[in-house]
Amino acid sequence: MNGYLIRTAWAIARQEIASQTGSLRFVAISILVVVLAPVSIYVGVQDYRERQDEYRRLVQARDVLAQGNSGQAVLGVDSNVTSFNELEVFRVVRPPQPLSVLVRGLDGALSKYWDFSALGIEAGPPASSGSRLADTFQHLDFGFLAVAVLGLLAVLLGYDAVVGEKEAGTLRAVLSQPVPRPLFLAGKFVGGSLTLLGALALACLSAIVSLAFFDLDFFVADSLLKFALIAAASGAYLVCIYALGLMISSLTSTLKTSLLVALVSWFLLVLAIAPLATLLARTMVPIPSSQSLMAQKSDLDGVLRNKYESQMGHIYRDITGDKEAMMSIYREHRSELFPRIRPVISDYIQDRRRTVGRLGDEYDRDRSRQQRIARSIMLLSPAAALASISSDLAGTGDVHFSTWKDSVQDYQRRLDEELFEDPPMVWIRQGGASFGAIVRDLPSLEELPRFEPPQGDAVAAILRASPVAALLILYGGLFVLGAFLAFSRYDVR
Amino acid sequence: MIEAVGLSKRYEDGFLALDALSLKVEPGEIYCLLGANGAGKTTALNIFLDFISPTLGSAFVNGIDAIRNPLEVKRHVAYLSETVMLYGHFTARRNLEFFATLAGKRIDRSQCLCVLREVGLPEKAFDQKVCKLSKGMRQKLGLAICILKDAPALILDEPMTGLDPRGAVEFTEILKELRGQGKAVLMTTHDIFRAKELADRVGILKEGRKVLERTREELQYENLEQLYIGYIRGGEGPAALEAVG
Repeated sequence: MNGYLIRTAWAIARQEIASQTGSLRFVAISILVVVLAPVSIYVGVQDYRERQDEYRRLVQARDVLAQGNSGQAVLGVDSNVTSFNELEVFRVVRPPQPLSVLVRGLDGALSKYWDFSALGIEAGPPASSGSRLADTFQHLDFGFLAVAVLGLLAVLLGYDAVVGEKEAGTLRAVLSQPVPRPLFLAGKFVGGSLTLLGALALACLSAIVSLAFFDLDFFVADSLLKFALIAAASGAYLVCIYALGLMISSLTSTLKTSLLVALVSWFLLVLAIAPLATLLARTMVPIPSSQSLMAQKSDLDGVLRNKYESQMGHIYRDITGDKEAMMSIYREHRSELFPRIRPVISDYIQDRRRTVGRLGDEYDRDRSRQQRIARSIMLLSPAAALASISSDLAGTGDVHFSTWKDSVQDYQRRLDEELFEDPPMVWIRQGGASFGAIVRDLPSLEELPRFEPPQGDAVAAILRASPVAALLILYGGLFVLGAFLAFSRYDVR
Repeated sequence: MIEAVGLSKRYEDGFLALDALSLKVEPGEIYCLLGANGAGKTTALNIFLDFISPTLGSAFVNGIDAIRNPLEVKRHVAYLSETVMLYGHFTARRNLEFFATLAGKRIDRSQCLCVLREVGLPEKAFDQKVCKLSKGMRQKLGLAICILKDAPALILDEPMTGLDPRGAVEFTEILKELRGQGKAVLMTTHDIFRAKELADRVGILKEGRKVLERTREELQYENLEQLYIGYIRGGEGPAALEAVG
């Protein structure tokens, strides 16, 4: 009996494979994928190289600054008076991820650098901005081919698996034999899944061959392992989408209805869900742009600075008797001025932390909430789940984004402690004049905290991608179960 | 043996497709079910094949309950429909091998060729795609699948519709041969002449009810055409015929 079941299931699976691999849709989409894979790799490599050049340029510019006055004696305030005040000396420049040539993810959209000041972190422009090639083909990468193009193939192979046989009459012929319905569907499922995995293998092969033409460090164990895991996740996704097609096919009674439902599902799950989730999250939790936030912070800080610089000016006038702030007079009365200025500086820092800092905290909290909502909505789609897994494995996803964000915020915290909240220089304003008063020894860049870039730990990335991978498998399981339940009551007439 | 006992089928919309049908087809017998379109012929066959379940009644094949044990029944039944639906993009031989596997048969190439020859399929058609075969050839291939299954019961749904005269004659001969082998054949048809020639027993269905059943012997003294047309026209058989002149 078991032998019969296995033989029959395999016969149905083979029939499905032969039938599907000979179909126009399979041949057309497979050719499309095999052609698009090298194109996507070419675009990815060009974009990666442009970003790598930009990265080197920015690092070089920062290092030049660090070797100059700004690195030797750090003032910690943003002003254009001297060459000691270039805050870009702290700039953190993010290198492009090598596997972004396969799955671009957020690597191009994430800031290429971050600047630090007493007001907080200021993010630079997106890494891919200005790249015409990347802008034109911003979605075309291996990840897109797997999610959208092969996903479309999966839906197209699945939608007629049952209802197509019904309309052709072969379903009656097959089910007039002693074939249990679950066995028939299992054979279909295995056959369709193997067909899709064949198409995926072609796409992977095409991508690997294309990568061999470029001088990249791709053929190392770490990258190959990650690529293999991305391919495995893509395989799980395709099987999941095929199961969805099979379920739709088992729930509909005509081919036209099945095709329509399958295409609408594909559009919603693959193409529409990401923008819809972002839109919904933005509507639910509106936040200002980062530029607008910086402007708000700057305005608030301006008011505070005016207040405290004037207070220090009053102290200066009380002690020196001078109505106009002058550096030379300040130097003479430095020992008297210091004890009285210190508490004012301290009040200013506390006030700034309370107002400007709160603004930043609220922004960070709302932004995190917005991202959480968008991500939760997106994870309703197996396509978004695969995109998340692939980008996390490639080091270009949310995990990558949050580790950089954590590192950058940690750097800001350490700079706050060591520099911005204990400024070596303050401005004193009195009358129509002002001057920068050095209130402690100016530290060199070497004495200040250094940025520690996040570690691209492959194991950590895999572990973080695992829950989403489990979700993808759960979706697949639900679709398979739905297909079996629907087919058990399917009207074959 | 094929047996229906008080089979009824009422659809969800209230339509009564089959009304207490009882019939019995003994081994070595051909039973022809006649009736207009929508009379319930195919509904009855669908119940035997577990394509639909009856509202009331029982169906048996070789004493096995088709409602309670449909898979076991399918092991004992071969089915052929009006338009044989096979995988068009595969060859005749491949279709035969595929359905033999589903039927639980392990066949080699020679057995396969032997059956195809037995039903009279031309040699050149063996490796032709089914979509390129004529209706007659497809019907023969369908019959080859039934023969290869070697089931004791055959359920045929208007199997000769659309066949040319020669094809129909060949088909009839094969059915006679199967009857000779002791198979029980339940067949629906519109073809009164073929039914007369083949059937050991004829039943006429009208609006789901069996309104007449005659054996071959009984039909020697009655005119089946007149009986059938009478029932189809709406009366009660001969009385209706008299009424229409």
